[in-house]
Amino acid sequence: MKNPFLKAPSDLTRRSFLRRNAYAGLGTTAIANTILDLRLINSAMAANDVSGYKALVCIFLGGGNDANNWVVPTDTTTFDSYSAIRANLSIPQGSLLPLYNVGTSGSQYADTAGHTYGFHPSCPELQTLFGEDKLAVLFNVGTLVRPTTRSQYFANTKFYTPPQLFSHSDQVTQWQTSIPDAPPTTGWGGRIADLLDASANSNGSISMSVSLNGANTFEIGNLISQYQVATTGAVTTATGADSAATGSARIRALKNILALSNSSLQRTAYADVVENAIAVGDLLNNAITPTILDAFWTVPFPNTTLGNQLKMVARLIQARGAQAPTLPVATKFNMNRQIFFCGVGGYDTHTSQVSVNGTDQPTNVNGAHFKLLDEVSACMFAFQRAMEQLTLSNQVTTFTASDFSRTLPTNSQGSDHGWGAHHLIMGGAVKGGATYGKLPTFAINGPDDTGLGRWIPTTAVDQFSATLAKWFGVDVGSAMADIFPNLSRFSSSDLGFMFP
Amino acid sequence: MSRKLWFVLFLAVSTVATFWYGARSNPAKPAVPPAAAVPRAAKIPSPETPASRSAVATNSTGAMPALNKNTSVISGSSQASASRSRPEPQSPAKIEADALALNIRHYSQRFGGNPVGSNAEIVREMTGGNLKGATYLPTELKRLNDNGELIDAWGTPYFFHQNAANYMEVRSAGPDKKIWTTDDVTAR
Repeated sequence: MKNPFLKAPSDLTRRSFLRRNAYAGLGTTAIANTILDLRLINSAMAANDVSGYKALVCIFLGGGNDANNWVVPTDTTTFDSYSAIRANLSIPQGSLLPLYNVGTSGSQYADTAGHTYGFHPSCPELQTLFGEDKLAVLFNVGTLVRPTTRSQYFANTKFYTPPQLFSHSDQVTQWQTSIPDAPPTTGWGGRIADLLDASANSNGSISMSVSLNGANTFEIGNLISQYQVATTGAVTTATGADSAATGSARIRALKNILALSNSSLQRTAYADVVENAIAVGDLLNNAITPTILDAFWTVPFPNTTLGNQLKMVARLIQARGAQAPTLPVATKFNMNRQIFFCGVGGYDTHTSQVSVNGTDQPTNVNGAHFKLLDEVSACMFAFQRAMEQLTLSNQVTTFTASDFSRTLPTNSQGSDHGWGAHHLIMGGAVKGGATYGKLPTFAINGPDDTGLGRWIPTTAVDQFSATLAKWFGVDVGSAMADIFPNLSRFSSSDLGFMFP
Repeated sequence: MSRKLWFVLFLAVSTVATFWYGARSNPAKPAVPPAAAVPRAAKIPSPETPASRSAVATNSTGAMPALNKNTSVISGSSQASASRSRPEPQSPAKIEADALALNIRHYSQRFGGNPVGSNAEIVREMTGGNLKGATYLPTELKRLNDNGELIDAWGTPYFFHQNAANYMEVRSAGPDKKIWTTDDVTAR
């Protein structure tokens, strides 16, 4: 068989040229990956601050939350623009819950541009947290390849926009990788876990990345695998048995099989993996036993999808600490850094966004979007109170994310896919009671609009994520650049909404 | 026999076999014409002709515009007496939506992903506004309103639900001209 590399230059045909370049490309990719891995190793040795306990909790609102109705400007001029464009989706000004400087009354919060704001009427809990300085709002954040203005968007759309903008799954992925212009391989949460786990959780007994919402991109790492937990705890071999005795017998039988000596290295290794999985599942379920009763929590979690997920996160955080040496059974995880992922769907409100019994009623508690925001507000509040109960408010930061926001104009029944969105950051370490970023100008074909009331983000996901990562302990030097390779394209890597 | 003769014989047999395979009827499969080319029965009047616009604009009965009223969707009256085991013939609106979806898939195969954006942006992208200057919207399907949006047979702009890079739902609002209702016509 001829070796294409041994051909004389004079024999070079177009076909052989392409083939050679294909081989060369493969080689270059391998070298590039090796270099990237070496850079991550160097980053891992950088001065990341992993002292004390900290956790990041991501709440992903699947489908694209209509953030235009979540936080609404209430100053007269801006509200009038909002109301005129939103039409049937518009929430009456008197129904919005004002953002106050302190508590839920008194002087209203106003940003530097003079805007005042109100939360959606379904969110009194968020109003309370804002007044307690435990909640901040970040305006118009979204996936960006580079800083983009309206004129740049129209002059060279492909250069300035992330691939597959407005597509659900692609925007979910890009929010979670924070590298919109490259094929997804890891999530930014996963890269942080890769970086910090060895130093932060050297004696930890479960994965640093835990998902309450199945597989996700956010927590995919090269080294640390995400551990998926159900809202009832770890799913083990005993789960689903018709009785506890049957479950125990099943596990006993499996363990006996795994303990059999075997000459095959592959079978032995597989047995070790399964034994480890059983052990981790047992540990987790033991560890969360003290919080099995709902009465443990001073503020009950709503019995909803998100409520149950956040309750399990709170239970796992409660079991984070060091194992007491006197205890015969392991009941603690010994973790110093943890990343949690929760998710809830239903936010793709093209239709019936505010319709109840055939009429548009934006403030009706049975409206689709009303119910969605009601759930997220009540659940976030219960979770924040749970962290305060565990005296971990300053160590646990929760943030929201979503595919995108939605168009400001109505489509007559709901709203369509947008781009930049408003998001919330919650916790004792948050410089709460304030808004960050820039509220878009509410005008169709205005300076922030692509033409259909889809806001061009003025803050990148990279900046949002990097601010959280810095608080979490990622070194702001080379480590940050490796986790967020596009970060240097933007003016600031710290949006200022976190205390050190 | 020389190798050349064997080759010619092989070629001839292959050609005959290919034609036979292509021409035979397949009773298990409905006789849907290739989606990329809009079937004659569902042919859309040219958007440039005032008559076609008024036909769309004045039809307030909720029925498909005149071009489809008395024509069989598939290929004429012979289909009406076809075997009962065959699937119900598709409506012209469904065939049109399928054709659109297929052309979008062709675009996706060429460019590694669907066109994105608003209706008008997608139309621009599929009518030469792409990197290759290629057109993926045949004249038969190109029915536009004054905003450059692709409209369905009832005059309502199509909605392109962008689920993933290679998964786009094409949605016509249907006769009631209200999108996201039960009479919507969809294709993927």
